[in-house]
Amino acid sequence: MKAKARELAPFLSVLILIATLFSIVFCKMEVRRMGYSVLKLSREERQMRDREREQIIMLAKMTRPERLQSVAQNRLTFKKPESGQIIQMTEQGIALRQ
Amino acid sequence: MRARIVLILIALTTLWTLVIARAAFLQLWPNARLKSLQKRQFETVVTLNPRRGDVIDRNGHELAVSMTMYSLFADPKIIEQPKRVSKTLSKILKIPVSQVDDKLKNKQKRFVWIQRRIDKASRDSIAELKIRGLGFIEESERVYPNERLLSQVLGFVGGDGQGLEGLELRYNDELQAAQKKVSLARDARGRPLIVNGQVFTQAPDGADVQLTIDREMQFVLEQELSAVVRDHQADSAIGVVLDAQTSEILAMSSSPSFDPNKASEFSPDRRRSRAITDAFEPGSTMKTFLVAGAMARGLIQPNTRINTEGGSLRIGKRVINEADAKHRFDSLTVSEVLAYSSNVGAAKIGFKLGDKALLEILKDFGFGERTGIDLPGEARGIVQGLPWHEHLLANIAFGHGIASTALQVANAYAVIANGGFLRTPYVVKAVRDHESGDVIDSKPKTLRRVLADEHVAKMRMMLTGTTADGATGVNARVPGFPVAGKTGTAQKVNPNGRGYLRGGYISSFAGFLPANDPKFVIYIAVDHPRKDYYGSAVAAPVFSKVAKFAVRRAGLAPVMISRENMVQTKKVAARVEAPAAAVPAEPMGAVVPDLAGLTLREVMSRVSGTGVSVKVQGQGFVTHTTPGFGSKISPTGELTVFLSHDR
Repeated sequence: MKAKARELAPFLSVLILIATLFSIVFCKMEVRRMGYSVLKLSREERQMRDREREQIIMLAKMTRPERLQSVAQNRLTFKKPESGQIIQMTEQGIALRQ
Repeated sequence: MRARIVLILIALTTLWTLVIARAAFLQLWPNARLKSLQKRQFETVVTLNPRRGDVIDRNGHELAVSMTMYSLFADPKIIEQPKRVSKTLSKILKIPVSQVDDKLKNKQKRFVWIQRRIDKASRDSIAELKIRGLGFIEESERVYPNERLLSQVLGFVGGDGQGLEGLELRYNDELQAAQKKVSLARDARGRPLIVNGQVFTQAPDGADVQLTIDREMQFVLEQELSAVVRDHQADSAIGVVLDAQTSEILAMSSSPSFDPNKASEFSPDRRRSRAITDAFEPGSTMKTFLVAGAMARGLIQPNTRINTEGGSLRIGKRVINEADAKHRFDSLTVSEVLAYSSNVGAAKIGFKLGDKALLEILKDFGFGERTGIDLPGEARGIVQGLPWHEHLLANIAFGHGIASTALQVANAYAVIANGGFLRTPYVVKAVRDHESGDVIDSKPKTLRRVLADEHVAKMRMMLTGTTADGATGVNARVPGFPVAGKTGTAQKVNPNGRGYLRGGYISSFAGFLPANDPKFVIYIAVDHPRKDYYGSAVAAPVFSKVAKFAVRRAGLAPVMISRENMVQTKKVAARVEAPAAAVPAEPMGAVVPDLAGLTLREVMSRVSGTGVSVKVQGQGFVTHTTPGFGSKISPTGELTVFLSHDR
């Protein structure tokens, strides 16, 4: 039994060596593959960030006071309050004309 | 034979040894030339374009932001069928064919811009065509989403993204981060390889700048300034709103303004921040500081009586008259000098002080020197050096013969509002650095104490008198709040020659409220109004409108409640819900009333509380309803209202 193992030892050593080398190559390839995935995702992330910024700018444009006023007056037919029409409710429970 | 084999073996072994030795030498021995060769072949440099930081208001609303755009370039030498390419590009970019064709014609050039800053959709459309000789460069585009709002304070950037005016210029270094270049290994197809987890797509953004400006207050100020310019056919108007305690700038503008998104289309006149760049004679608003200084020196008290000579005072060959010809008082108290804005009274107080003391007072309040605001291009104003002859002294006492900016006047009023301290006004609240995470907060900066508490209290009381019945500042009143302030009507200096412009005035009002516990300092100046020209008629109403909004926005509780401005709760509801005109007020019952011609708001007020749900179709005024007028409707039914802009 011992003799047989001694016969197989060189073969096994070479096998382990080759397996180790293959493992290293595999790991390196895996790192490279993951690197490409990260690269792709990074680009996607950046595109998403750009899109988010576009949306933020769009929202800021949509909610600018001048536009809101224009929509209120022209589309919703609201009128600007005249003097005395604005009522300020005070802490004392008194309504104050402004 | 054997010897030959050994010889060949030795030769081969030697050869291999030499090859291995050479390989080892190349791989292991340091060699600069080889290193650079390797770098050139396997490394790529990725340029990270920084995004310019955002500018936001005190509540986080975006005022200036940057977004990624794409600039299209071409190498005319390698473009095939340039005419066909021109046609295709012009269609996508919506520009004339000739414009593209001209650029592609010159085959000698290796680089021409076809169009700068195109959006992503256009970029994708062009990229899909895979035309050889076309390429894109990413660039950052500055966007001002609020268009004209705060434009003169914000300034604008040039084509290369450099700040050219306003905050964009002053804070250019903070907003614009340095461009970064990252060296990375690349593969055979030129794709960058990620080494050691290096993330190279995150651009180093510029710092965000938060302002002290309140966007809503800025909007109201700008609206009112535009309205006063339009209604009074004025050349321009300037407005400043300060936090009374800290001198933070809450709003600052001048009308007409400009759109920083297309700054080059506007004249430099519109682009400058007049509140800090334009010095003008402030007029009677300066009497406040004259009185404060004289009182601080113990020369006068609020009830000290001044001989006002029946409204006319001769100094040498010249005569000083009251601004309002009806004001022919023989004598006035100091409080009344302010309330009726007496030029003769102010001149008399000026004489009591003398030129040296008056100059000291003006310097103490910050006139003749820059306020130190964090904006570029600030003027220092003009205060003439001593000695002043009698006539000049009298003129300066009522705000002529001296020039100041709107911000200087507002900040000097803040001295009285904040308890006697001259502070540096500022517009930037914080700078946030994305890279380091540092936040630099601005703090109020006190320059010096100008007035003692007792004099501040007296000044507030006297200035409140100028908005009392019959006084000049009555139009500046705000229901529920005591207003302290002063009108100003200054003759306008002739911009094209000597002396004053005939019929030209600068009408102004400076003040603060609530007078007992000041929160806001507001200054309004209207340049050359052609309908009315008194500060009381032109600028004071604008002050009142801006101040009303400011107290409502701040949620301040009123301190002066009179029957006049008080309404009872039931009446309030009726008033708020009352339709504008000629609208029958019957409530919604089991039968649909005639709602034709009403606005949606009026319909909602009628339906409110009945249980009927309303469905809306269209916009504008009611044309008809389903069910129609007179039809029965259940208390939980649905009423469809059709609206149109045609009544």
